[in-house]
Amino acid sequence: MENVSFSVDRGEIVGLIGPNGSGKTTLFDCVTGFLSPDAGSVVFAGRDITGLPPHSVSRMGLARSFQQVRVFPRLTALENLRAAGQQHQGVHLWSGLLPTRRSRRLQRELDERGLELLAVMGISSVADLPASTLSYGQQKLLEICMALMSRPSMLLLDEPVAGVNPTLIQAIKDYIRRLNAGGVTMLVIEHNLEVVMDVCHRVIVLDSGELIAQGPPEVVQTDERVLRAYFGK
Amino acid sequence: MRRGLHPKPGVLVATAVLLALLMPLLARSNYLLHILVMTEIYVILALSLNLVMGYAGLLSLAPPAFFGIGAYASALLSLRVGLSFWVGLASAGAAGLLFAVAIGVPSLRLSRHSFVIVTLSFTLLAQIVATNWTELTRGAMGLPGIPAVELGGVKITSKTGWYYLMLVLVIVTVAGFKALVGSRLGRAIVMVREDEVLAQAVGLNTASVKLWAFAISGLLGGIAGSCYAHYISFIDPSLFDFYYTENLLIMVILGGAGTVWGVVAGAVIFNAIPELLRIHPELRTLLYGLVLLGAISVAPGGLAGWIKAWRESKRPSVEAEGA
Repeated sequence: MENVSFSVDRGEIVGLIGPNGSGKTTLFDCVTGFLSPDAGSVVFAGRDITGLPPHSVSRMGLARSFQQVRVFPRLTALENLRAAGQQHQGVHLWSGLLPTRRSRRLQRELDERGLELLAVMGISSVADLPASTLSYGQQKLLEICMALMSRPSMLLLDEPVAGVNPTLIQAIKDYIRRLNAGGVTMLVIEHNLEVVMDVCHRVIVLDSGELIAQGPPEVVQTDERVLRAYFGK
Repeated sequence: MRRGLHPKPGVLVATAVLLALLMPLLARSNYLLHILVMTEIYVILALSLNLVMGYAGLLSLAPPAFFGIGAYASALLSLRVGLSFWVGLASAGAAGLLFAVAIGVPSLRLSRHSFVIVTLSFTLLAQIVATNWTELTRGAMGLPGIPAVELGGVKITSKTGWYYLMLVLVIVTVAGFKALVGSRLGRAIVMVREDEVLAQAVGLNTASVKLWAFAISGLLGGIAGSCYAHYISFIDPSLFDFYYTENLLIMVILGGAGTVWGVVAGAVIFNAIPELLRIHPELRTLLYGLVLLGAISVAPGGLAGWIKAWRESKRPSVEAEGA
């Protein structure tokens, strides 16, 4: 990737689009610490987070989902949420070895938050089922819930509606808007342009690792370079 | 949903402990008691492998190394320095832990496959050192005359005494292990096994979690080694043999990697059965290999997985609702 420079303002929903192989997921990986950029920097909430490991980035309130849906397969849905949330309770890994009052309270908080998120996404019924037995759509929703367990200030979604049926697409669009209304800034990779045009305030277009356009959806949609990148000449 | 067939866990644990307490009354020969004590040592060692392999999903071939290091550390401290078993036990645990950290820091950064090779090499290396550093270890001649344990001025020399001493250690270890895997740290260890990338994405420092799991495994291995040294009163470099690794793998895999009671049962069964059947040792190794192959194809979740599947098949099925 070269010459990719952009910013996302607090409270925005920004779409990240571009043909396959244009570097969208690579960009996510650089921002969230899974890859270290050779040059350039990533600034989040006024702090330089370039090269920080993924877990530190996550703990700063920058959460992400994956293109290939990722859940902990042998844990139940609720256990997945506990696992995703426990790093964000501000206590050491070693605490909770003894069944103290405090550790029980922290545990209860995780459960309450987890069940609440499952209810919001409409998948309360699968709380006690192993994640591997959930349908693809349910896993996608669970993954978003997991990202939300940290109460992130910014969420990076990698193709949230890929392979999802039309009813669920509508639901996910609604969740994205609701989360945003609740104060979560979003950067969304999505191939479904209808969804991008519908929910995003602003769109960034990548092609072969370069930023070729950015602006409001309606403007980007008619940009000559964008059309060329997508459809050829 | 629990009926007569599914007694409460507490009842099962109490029964198991009671049975364990009564065991020496049933096992009247010294030979049987010896097998029981060895079983107890193996329970601790099998749990040490289970934590890394069953919970963190990392195959470690180093348990015999920590076992041997613990045995030598404890034996040398009491023979050369004259320290008591209890100091030796603590030092053996510490030595296991420190070596695990020293090996873990570089090797856990590698791929999972490379980690396996490093742990195997470490065990082989430990054996070479034990064999050749003759000034310290007397090499292949071994270290005889490791003193017995003293507890409140009384020397524990009988097998029954050892059985109860080890039973206390086993109960403490199992209880501690249960608490660990049920805790925040235990959940973190399982997250590493299930999906390391996702674990990092939700804020887990997986490098440190893996190191902790490996370190605790080293600690348990060292403790088991110290007990063995003082119980048998003689150790030599054959402690590091691959034979022990194979035994442990059988116990953990067939018992049910990633479960506590499955692995405890695995350690008990695979110590008791071969001894009682009195099979020729080399034939036993061969049989173990066959049993392992068969079990992985028939019951990949081990004993614990098999029982769980059986219990679930007895329950009314839970239908997933579509979203």
